[in-house]
Amino acid sequence: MLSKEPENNSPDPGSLITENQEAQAQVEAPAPAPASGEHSSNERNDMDNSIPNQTCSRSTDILLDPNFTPAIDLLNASLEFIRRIHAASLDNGDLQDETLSRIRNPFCESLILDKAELYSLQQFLSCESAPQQTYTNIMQVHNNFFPDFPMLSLDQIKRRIKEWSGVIPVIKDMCPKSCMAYTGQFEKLTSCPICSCSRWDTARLQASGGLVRVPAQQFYSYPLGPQIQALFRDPGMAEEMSYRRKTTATILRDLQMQDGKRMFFEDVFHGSEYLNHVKDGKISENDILLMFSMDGAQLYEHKQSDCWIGIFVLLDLRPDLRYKKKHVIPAFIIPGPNNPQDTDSFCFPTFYHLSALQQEGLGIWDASRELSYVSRPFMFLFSADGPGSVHLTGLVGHQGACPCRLFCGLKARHKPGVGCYYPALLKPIGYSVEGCDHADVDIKSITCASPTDYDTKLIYLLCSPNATNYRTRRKETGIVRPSLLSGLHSKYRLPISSMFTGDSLHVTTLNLGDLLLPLWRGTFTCDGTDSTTAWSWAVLKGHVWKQHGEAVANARPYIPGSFDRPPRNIAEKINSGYKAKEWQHYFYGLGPALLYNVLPLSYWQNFCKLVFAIRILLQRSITAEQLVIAQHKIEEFHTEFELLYVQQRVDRMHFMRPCLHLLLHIGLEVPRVGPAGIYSTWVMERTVGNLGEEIRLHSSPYANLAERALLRGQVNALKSIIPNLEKNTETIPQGGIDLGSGYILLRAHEQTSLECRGFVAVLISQFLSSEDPSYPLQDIYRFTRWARLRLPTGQTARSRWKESKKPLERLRISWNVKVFFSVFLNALLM
Amino acid sequence: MNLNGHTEFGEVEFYFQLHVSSEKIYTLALVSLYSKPNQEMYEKSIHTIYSVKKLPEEDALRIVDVKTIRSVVSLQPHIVDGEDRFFLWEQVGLELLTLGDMVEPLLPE
Repeated sequence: MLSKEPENNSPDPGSLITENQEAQAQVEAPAPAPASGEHSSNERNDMDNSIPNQTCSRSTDILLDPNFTPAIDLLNASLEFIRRIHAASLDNGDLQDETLSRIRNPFCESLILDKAELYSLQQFLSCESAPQQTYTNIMQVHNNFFPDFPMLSLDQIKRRIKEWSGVIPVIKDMCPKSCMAYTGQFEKLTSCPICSCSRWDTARLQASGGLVRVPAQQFYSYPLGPQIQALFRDPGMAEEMSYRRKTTATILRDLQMQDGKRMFFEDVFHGSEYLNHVKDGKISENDILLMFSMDGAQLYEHKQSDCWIGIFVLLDLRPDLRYKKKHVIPAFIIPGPNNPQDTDSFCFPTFYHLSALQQEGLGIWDASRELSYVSRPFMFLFSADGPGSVHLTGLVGHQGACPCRLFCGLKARHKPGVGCYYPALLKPIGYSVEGCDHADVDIKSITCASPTDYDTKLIYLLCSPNATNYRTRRKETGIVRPSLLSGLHSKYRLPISSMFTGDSLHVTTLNLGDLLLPLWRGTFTCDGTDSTTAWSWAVLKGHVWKQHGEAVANARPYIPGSFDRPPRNIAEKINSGYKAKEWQHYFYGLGPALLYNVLPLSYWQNFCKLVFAIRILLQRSITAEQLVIAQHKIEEFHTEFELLYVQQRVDRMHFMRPCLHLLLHIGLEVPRVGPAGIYSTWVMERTVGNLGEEIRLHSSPYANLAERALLRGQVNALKSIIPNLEKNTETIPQGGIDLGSGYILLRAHEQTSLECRGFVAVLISQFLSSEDPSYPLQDIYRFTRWARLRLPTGQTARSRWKESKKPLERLRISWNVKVFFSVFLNALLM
Repeated sequence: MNLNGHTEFGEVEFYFQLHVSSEKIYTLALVSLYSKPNQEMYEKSIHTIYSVKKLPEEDALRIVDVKTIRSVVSLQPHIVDGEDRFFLWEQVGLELLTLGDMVEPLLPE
């Protein structure tokens, strides 16, 4: 399963070792990866060569073979959707003529509005977050005072926005209990195949004697084509869309100068997956690189996720634009009240449209270069953390028996007579479960996702002869069904399993929290043959636990406001929804110091290795050297965890939770697709969340959300078409001074000037003479003090001058800063 | 550590502007630097505990250009061998926050 052809070059995991051999040698000398089995040195890479890409995987051949019919209904249903997506055409009737003609013949000029239109539009946008009645009120007042220059009515302006933006939704019927959508092969059904609920509004159907058929509920998809086109219609915005093209050129040039070695990883473009596709000509400079993400949005407090939102992120934009609300493209909304059962049927219109665009091409008129071309949107990554991911990946969720959702091909082990598999690398002592009793797995042999592994497993699943057998195979493979994305032509997407990215959000926080804390508290499941009294690491008990919880809570005043959500007392709140952010702060901020002298030394140091590695892996930019060290440390953490806690005991195999294994992949994925932060939903959380916040009408929140998302798509498109519509969202607060490069001096500002003499005046003189020796120096300096400074990080640094008078319980100390001293300045200070 | 310099941590006393000539204005901060980290603790903790202490004023105070201030960090009080110290906590994934719509809103005062 782990076999890769003995090919020269995969620049993925091997590169962690070979690419940086020298760097690694300096740091610590790790044992060289043993050439065990198929994991020979052949895998070591050289960026000059490229991975021979399979144009079509074997499983894709089978999926698309009309003569192949799986024995399992569920698989058949998936195949039906997949085959329809594969055969997609823009002319299937979903799109209005207007949209169709735009996709094929984009407007080749900027959009010019007349004065009344522009005025009405600006008014409309300034009411964007207010109830819509506000616009009408303003219009009425305005029209009373200026009857010669009338504003458009709400209805008129909304119709114009639709027309100008070209964003027109595809509306489909769905089961009112949100089981499925009437799309694809379900298009003609009249009742839900899952819950038998009628497709129609039964009250109206009965009242009319069966004549009036009004859908009970509908959902919206927002076609991608016009939303992409909009980004090219203004020269400035179109220029922004060239970020990928320019960055790629820089990276390729640097690679040449650096003998094919990557010095750092900052974006997906530094990943081998992207670079190889570019070299093979599979991604051209005119294509659009897409990342799809799907996330649950909570509309009501008491429900988990009652609504699912699909979005596209355009990787062509620079990172600080692409995840912003105004550039994220809404794809669809699956309304509640329940979680969808047949997610494929809801995602179908979105990917059908994408498939048609890929095959027929999307007409782009690029205003920055004043040229027209046909673009093929390329489906590059699928990003969803935790629960969201299972919907579209077609994989089993967290409880899956197969520990690696990234298909590295690791062979797991289970306890005798228990079906749950664990990614235990070491073979337990006295263990002889058939199929699992392989020798110790060398941690260095674990590699990135292998398309071959996924492919083999998927075919095995598809060929299940009967339902019982299917269930077994599902468990063995970790695959429930083929992914809907398999319907996209393989030349316009990555191999399915290569599109999946790791889950750095849940794994490093909630999942580890569910493992480490119960272990340290001695509350983790303990087998009958084991005893928690033998758990030397189980120390967070009684008053130690209570004190530990207080220490966490007491950290609060010293946590700057910008850190977001300070962790609550963990001893009191661990069972009341300790949030991902709280876990992150607890483990990677406070953990090492608060657990020092609490955990036994070896266990504490083991934990520190994890912290060390994750702090690096979640950076936005990671140098090749840092990556080697971080990966080495996380491997040490994993290996030691098995030795310290599990101790090769069969009755402790359940300590080996899948999250431990997935930790290894966070670093392994970096050379392949760039740092985790770039495709983690950390960055998109807020974006998805605030669509939900925009809901105003409580009577029908789901319909309203869909309308909101539509308007969002339309307004975003318009803002790209006419960028100067956008009012500067962050105006500098009154009295502030913009210092440039993201620094803003902020009030409070002292009114009367301070006379500064003595030691501080000497320091000022020293500073000035180091800047320019000709400055006249003084004994007294006069100036007024300022309280706050906005930094390019988006944080606001405060100062002791204004803050230190506040009582500690009201403080979130934000006056501690990191200062960079250049060598030059430093020399003078010495 | 950066090749062209090094980072230090400190408390900002206040910010101020100096008009040295008609066209040149410096925007500066008076900062009290913390000590160098406790090396033993740093090594023992796999470089995860960077523990510093306050310095006497004459050693601590520095004038810095505000643009040398890179980020806001947390320094948490703790006691090591009976000594009052502070350990450093830098926000994990800080630079990622500016990518989304996650930054602090700008407040008037």
